[in-house]
Amino acid sequence: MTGARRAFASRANARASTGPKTPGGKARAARNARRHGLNLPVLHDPTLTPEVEDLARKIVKSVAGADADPRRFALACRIAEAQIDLKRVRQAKLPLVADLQADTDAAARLVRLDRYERRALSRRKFAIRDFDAAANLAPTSS
Amino acid sequence: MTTTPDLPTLSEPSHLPASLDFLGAAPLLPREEVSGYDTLLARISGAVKPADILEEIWVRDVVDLVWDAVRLRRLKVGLMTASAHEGMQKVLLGLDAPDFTGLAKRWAAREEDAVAQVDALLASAGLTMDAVMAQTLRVRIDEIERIDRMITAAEARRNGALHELARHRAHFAAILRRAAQDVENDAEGIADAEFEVVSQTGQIPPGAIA
Repeated sequence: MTGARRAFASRANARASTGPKTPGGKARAARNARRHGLNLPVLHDPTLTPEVEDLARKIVKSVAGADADPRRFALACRIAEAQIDLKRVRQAKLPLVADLQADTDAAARLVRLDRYERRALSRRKFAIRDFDAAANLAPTSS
Repeated sequence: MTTTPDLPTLSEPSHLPASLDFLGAAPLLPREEVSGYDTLLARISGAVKPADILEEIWVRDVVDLVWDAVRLRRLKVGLMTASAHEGMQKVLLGLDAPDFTGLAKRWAAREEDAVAQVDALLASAGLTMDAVMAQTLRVRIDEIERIDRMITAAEARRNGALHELARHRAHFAAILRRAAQDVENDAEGIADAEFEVVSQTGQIPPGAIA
């Protein structure tokens, strides 16, 4: 086969296989680069949004009372988001901890995941501080 | 893979209060003792007496992080034990022992003749098990360092959670003090109004009688 014919055949073959065709295949390929999804904010996952709102309501009711300033609900949502992120990171870390003795790469992967926990903790800390500070401005029902 | 036979099998979920479902299940590995986690949670909750949901979150953090640090320490010891044959290989190689790889593996399997042979070789060179563990540490230093870093991080986070809990309490204590002071000041104002000084002239101020 000459160089030109080979190049033509290669181009034709390449055109015949340019990735997945079916919606299922495309959806699967779209997740090829996904490792743990911990970079995605909680609110990008529609299944977690009600969980955030539910937790935020619990926080407001527990700390500020049922008739709290609505602004505090928004601040509580930040706490809830960070808390749910934290839960996700810790759940992702647990199987790696279990593999620590068997898998020599597990410790390195745990250290890499650790920064997500650090970020979530930091976000939660500042969200709680802002939430507490808002109590100074709100009527002292708390 | 090394197992930890001293730990009982996971039999039932941890008895976390239903109101704290949002915190997720207790972070236990298979074969970790549920009652140990529950006892730790009960002790720390009993000592801190969380007053609201945020304090519950911090208490749970502290419990999980204490559990995490203890577990990592245990896994570090397990890793060293499981890798001891690799350190033994290095020591036996240095002693020019014949079939050092096979001997180290049989020693790790606690075969009596291999154990006796290794003991004799170490004694003849004036070495102890410390030399073997030092070589094991050398082989596994990267993993051990990472585990140590994770232990340090868990301890720092536990301290951070306690610090934030104390700050939260101090903040609300200050608000309560201010609120109590306001109530006292208002009460003093009411008392002052009740006992207003009456004019010395004896005249009744206009409009005082309807």
